[in-house]
Amino acid sequence: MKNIGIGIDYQHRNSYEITFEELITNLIDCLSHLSIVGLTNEREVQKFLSLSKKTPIIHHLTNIAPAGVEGLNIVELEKQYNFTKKLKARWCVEDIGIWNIGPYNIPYFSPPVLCEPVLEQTINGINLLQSKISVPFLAEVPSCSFVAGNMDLGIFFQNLVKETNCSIVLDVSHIYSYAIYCDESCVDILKRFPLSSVKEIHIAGGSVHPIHKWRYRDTHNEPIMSEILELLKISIKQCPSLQAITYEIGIGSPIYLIQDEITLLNNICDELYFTPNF
Amino acid sequence: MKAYTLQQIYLQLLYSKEISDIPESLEKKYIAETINTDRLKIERSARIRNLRSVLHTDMRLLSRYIDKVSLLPYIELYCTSNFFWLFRGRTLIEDLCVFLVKNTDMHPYMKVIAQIEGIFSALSTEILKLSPWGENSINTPNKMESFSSSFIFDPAKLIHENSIFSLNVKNKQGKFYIIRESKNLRITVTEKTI
Repeated sequence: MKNIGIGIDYQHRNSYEITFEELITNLIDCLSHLSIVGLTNEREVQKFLSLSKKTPIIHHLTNIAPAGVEGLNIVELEKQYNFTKKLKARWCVEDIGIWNIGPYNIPYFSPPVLCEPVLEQTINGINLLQSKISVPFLAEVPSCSFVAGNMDLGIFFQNLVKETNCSIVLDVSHIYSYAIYCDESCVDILKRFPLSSVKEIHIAGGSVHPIHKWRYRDTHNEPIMSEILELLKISIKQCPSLQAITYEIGIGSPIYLIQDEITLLNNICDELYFTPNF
Repeated sequence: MKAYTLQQIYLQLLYSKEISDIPESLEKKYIAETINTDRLKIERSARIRNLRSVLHTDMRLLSRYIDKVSLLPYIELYCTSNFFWLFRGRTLIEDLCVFLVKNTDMHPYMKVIAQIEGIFSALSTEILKLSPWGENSINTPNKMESFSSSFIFDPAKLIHENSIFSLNVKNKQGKFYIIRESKNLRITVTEKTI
């Protein structure tokens, strides 16, 4: 079974019980692809490539930020797109959100203000981005522990897809975060997203705050919540253009948990006859 | 309404300010009408704690001398100050360290370690920007920086000890040097001779 890919942050490579090399080597034969984020220089790109053994790669960008405060960061795009080309990545993705405070990265990115002016800025940013790169760019649905603006997140993405023609990454953990924030069912939330444009699904572990039940904690190093696994099953059935499912791991994720979750996700894909398509 | 102004206000609310601190504008009115202010307080606290944890994890020296719990009040002070929005450092860690050294009552020995941490962080990157430590002699941009200090100690001890009182600090004028050599950083100190 190689139905699932894994999403790794290169900057967290030393946070596991085993070395990064061991982690990749142990898992690679049961993965459909590798999704990598946090590569900062050529040396890291080459090191990662040497471990990937020709497994398909997806390049997860950061700080390109078409929906950021300052809008699309062209300098960062050019730098990271060079890595995308070196990786021979099948596509690149980035969460639609605010990634910076001034010149610094925010440790935990924020969804943009959901409103017309920010939507327009994001559309312009993605159109410009697409004119500068020759691999597909997928806009990822952001995690929402807090929301500002009066536009629905699904409508925001519908408009984004309509005006840019880009595909999207449906992060089902992020959809869940938005659903509990809005106190709405995940199924109703999902209906408002452009599901026919979903090319990749992300899923990760996390938890709901024990007191503030509206707040999802997207930690990436806890077990995947059962509600989110259910949402994954619904999403697989409703996304006809789906090509890849990525399980994202976080800082210090226990190895036993990573292996168990991959097995569980592989089984779900088998049950639903999903096979990756690169 | 301007996207930039809307998002700048939103970001300030997420880390620093109360809605009443923001000057009146159409954008402020819109944000105020579309957020839940009770939830904002919880979100802001969580973000500040997260920022504290990430900065503490990313520190290479200062985190040995201050634990996460003790660092939190300083991060709260940093985020709620106007200095948080001045971006004085070349990295976020250096920006925090500039704040700790120049704008807090942190112990003077800790301030020396914070300054070393800040410069250490900046020299670890490829960022070519002027050093924010104004009074220092910048010898070779992005390669070496030094600063004068009223206290000196053996910098080799920094990575082995975890209390400022174990550093055998001497009340002597001196100069710390942080030097970038290929992929490594080295710290040395010289005693000022009169």
